Amino acid sequence: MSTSRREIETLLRGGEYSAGFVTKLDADTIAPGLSEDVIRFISAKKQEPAWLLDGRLAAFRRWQKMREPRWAHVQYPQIDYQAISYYSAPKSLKDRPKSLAEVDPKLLETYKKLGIPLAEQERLAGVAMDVVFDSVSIATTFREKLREAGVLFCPISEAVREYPDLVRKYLGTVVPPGDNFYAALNSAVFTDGSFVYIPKGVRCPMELSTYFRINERNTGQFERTLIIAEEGSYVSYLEGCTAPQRDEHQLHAAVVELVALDQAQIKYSTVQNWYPGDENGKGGIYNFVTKRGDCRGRASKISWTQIETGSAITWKYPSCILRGDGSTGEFYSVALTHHRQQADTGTKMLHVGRNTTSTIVSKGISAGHGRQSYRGLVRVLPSAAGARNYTRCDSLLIGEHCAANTFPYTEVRNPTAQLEHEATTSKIGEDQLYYCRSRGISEEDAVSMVVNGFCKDVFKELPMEFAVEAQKLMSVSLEGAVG
Amino acid sequence: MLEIENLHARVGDTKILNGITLSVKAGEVHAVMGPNGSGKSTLAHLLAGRAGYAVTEGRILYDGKDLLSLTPEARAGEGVFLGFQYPVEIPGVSTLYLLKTAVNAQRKYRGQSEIDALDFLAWIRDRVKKVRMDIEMLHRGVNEGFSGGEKKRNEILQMLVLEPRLMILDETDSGLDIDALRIVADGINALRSPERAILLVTHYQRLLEYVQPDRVHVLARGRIVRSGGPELAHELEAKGYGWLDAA
Amino acid sequence: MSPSYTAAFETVLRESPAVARESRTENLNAFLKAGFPNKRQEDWRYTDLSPLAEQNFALAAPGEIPDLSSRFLPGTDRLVFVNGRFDATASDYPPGAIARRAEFATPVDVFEKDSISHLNAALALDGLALRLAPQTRLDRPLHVLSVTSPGAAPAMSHLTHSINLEPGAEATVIFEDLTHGDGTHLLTQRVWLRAMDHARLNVIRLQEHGSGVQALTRWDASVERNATLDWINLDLGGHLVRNDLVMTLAAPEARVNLSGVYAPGGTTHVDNHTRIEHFWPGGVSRETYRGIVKDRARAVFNGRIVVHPQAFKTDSAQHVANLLLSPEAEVNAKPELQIDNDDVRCTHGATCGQLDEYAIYYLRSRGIPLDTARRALLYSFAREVLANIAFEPARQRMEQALLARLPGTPEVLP
Repeated sequence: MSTSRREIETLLRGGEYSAGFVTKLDADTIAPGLSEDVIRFISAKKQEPAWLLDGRLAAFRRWQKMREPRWAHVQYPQIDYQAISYYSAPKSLKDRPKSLAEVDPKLLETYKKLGIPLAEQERLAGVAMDVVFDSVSIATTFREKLREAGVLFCPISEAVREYPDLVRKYLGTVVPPGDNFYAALNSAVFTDGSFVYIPKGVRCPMELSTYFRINERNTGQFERTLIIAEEGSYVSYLEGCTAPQRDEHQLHAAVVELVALDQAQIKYSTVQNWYPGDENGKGGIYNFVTKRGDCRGRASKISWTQIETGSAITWKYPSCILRGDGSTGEFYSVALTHHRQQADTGTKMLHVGRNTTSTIVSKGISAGHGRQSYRGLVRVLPSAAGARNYTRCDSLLIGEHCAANTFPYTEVRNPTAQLEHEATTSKIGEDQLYYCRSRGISEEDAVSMVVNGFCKDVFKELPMEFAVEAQKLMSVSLEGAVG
Repeated sequence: MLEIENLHARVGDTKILNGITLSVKAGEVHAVMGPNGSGKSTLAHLLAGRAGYAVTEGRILYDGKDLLSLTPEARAGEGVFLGFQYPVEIPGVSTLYLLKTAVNAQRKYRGQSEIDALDFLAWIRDRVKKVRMDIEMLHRGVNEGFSGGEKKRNEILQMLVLEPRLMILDETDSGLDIDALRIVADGINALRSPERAILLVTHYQRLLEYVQPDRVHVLARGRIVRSGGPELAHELEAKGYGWLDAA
Repeated sequence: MSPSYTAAFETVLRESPAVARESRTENLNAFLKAGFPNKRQEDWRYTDLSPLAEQNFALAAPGEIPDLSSRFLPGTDRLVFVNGRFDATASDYPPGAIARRAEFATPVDVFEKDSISHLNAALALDGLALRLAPQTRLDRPLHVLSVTSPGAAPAMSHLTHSINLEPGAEATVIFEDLTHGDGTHLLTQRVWLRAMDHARLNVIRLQEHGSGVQALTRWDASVERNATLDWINLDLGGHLVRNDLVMTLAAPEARVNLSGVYAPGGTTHVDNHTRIEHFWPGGVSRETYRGIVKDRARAVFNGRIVVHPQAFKTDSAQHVANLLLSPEAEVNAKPELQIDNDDVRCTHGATCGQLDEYAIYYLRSRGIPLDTARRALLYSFAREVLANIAFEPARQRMEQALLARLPGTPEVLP
């Protein structure tokens, strides 16, 4: 082993997870276990209509017959689904606060510590925010301003009550309850998440954002997000996630559904920083997520950007169904696995309509004992004349114990389609590090610089303020590691 | 300023340097010439701190400090600069960003405060003109897609921006057309001063027509076989390196 | 499972020496237990063999074959098998290194055996056994012709070949698979390749089966220190064709060059599953595949490169390009990288598309008819692989076989 590699590995051992604190407050948490009664309890808590409860129960019955998928390149012990609590909410939120002034100061303090000062946010223009704490949404900012534009942005549990027709029309149409094991589980027990509706021709006046926080011990978070963009509308949505530092694993199984109608555009960005576990793999979130966008309309566009630095295990494949003629799907991803983190992530692009286009750019960084796999599917159906795909998939390896796999599936059933896939896997360039250092830059900064350069094609897809955030996050996650 | 004393070095099992002794005073320009494989680049990289070389004997003193014990970045902080023979490409990292980070890291090393962003830009603009580069190029990835000549000019630009005290230029003249060679030479001459020293590592005498050296050393098989004044370079040009085999 | 497999086994057992019976029985039982692979298995996602279980294949009788002399390659020695059995009249080779397979001559499986390999081990009666002593060289390339001659009823045949080059040895072997007749036939082949230190092994294979043949071939190669394996394959015919390659770089500084062209037409389904396993430092692997898929044909390419933890300084590159020529044609491609150490340089690329319209236009602007322009470009697309065949007669044979199958007027040679 060369000197510099040893040094990098030493550097990699550092790294502090700054969001690892616990907020101490009284919570209303149900006993662990999963049964029809628990689902009825959740549904009652949320004051849901009967059709939704029926849907949950049907999904649950289906889930009971399903088997946990084992095809991904990740390893973890059997999850005991009866040992998880499926609902937890701060007691102070029993009646949802009408305004921020009514929100428990402890909660506001939590978000401030996480770098999201909600009170100030409400005054400053820019980003509207929904914040979800364990199983409930505690606040949504800028709602009035958004409503003026006709944009609906609220917790999904509220949307179920306020806009039942819209929810019923779209919920479960992109990710059906039986889609996969975790989607079925989510469909049965989902608690909160965001609902976004952009009416025809409206360009959403600000960035929308949801911040997910897991706080209670032994709980799972099962959020559900639904975004509908009507004809000719545009929205940019960003989600962030953190959780306390705990020795046991916690499960996060979300479902996100996007619907873009004619010429609508949805830009969905994720900065995922769930607690990754410690350097020996103790603790950390299991992040098993189903995200799918449906480009239902002509010339519609859905763009996924994800920065995945957290979680002990990430299993997610944000996908696009390119149904509308001339629709576009994009997937830009940076995934970083460090210490004992594992990630099996990628995308699916399903070309159905004519002249549909998809772009995939995936950058994986494996450090320490990190393991990750890119898994992607590009499928061109016979109907998709003129389909185009470009895929670029690069892995950077730091340290001799890490691993990187690439599994890109391409299935083409139309002779006018054009697909191009390129992939590389290589170690971090020692000559690049030396070059930077010979200019006076420390090794840690040099590693960070090279890694950030490697990720640039993805970072530039993020909204400005989050791009900076993402770069910082990379630095911290590689701290020591990739400065 | 720079004292190289009986330096022996190896890469793996191969001995590359076999006892080099060389003294460079502030204000001087020294040229190290020699055929391919004589150890010129190894010497340059040993001064800059590249990993993978084992020094088996001898030492390098820089301002009286043991240079070999310092990391590459600390050497840069001390004012050592190596112009690479093969400048490295770093996709996604702009030259501007690299330089700003480097300037501030070096200032920090010397206990100075960070440079103001506007001052920095003005500073860069002025120097970009000197090497006749388009400032647009500085927004591109470091050396990414640059031609050979552009890469070398970028090295000189970085040198002008960082203002080192000991400059080692490893074959900076190779592969340059006459215009680019002049730009490179002008850049080197601009920094020539009584406080600074320059070590030109080169295969040809061409660059030395523009940058007049005080001393010329001939390196062969890891040893300095001859030293002399500027006239030695002309002699080499006329006779080639063939005679070294006999020496 | 159809009883025909057990029935064939009884026949084979009667022909086998006692010493082989136990192993054959074990393999048959393993095959019956596992059954034919189906789509639920990741490696068989696009190729479903489960219908084979219900078909009745009798062990093929020695078939009638026409005069093969037009297929002989000049300058080669020759081994001919018909319906899985040796044909002495058509074969012509000097005694010595080249021999027929003996019972128990096969090596031990390193990787888990698939059920087709079990079936082959239970039923194969013959095949090539080439063994070259250290520092020796096969004077003339060896041509192994395997002819399938289907009769009125569905039948099957099985062959097991092994090539063993001891240190420093060199050989070129051309496998040619063809069919005489249109009936239904199942052919399984297992080929063992070993190139010990500094050996150089050149394998060329041309597959031109008839439209009723299901051909399943498994190749296992072990390439050792400083040894090189060059392997080039051209798949043209068959009803269902599957090639499974497991190429192991089993010592430091080994080199594997793998390439292939598949150009299926009609309703042919051709599936190439390749796996290159880097176990030791300093290995180099190169893989290039070209696919031309027309009519209602389906092509599958799965290329996996595995770099194990201690295989430092591995250098691996893989590229597959496909052209889809008809609305009903289909391509499924999956180049995979599995990397378990950081000191590597691995790349892969995959494309799927059409001929370059601009290039066609360019040729036409020079007065070349559209039909010829297309053929010329298709030919040059495949030639990137075929041009690497050093043995001239084999290269010509393969290029002509390919040209005959390209769409357009056959007499127009680019």
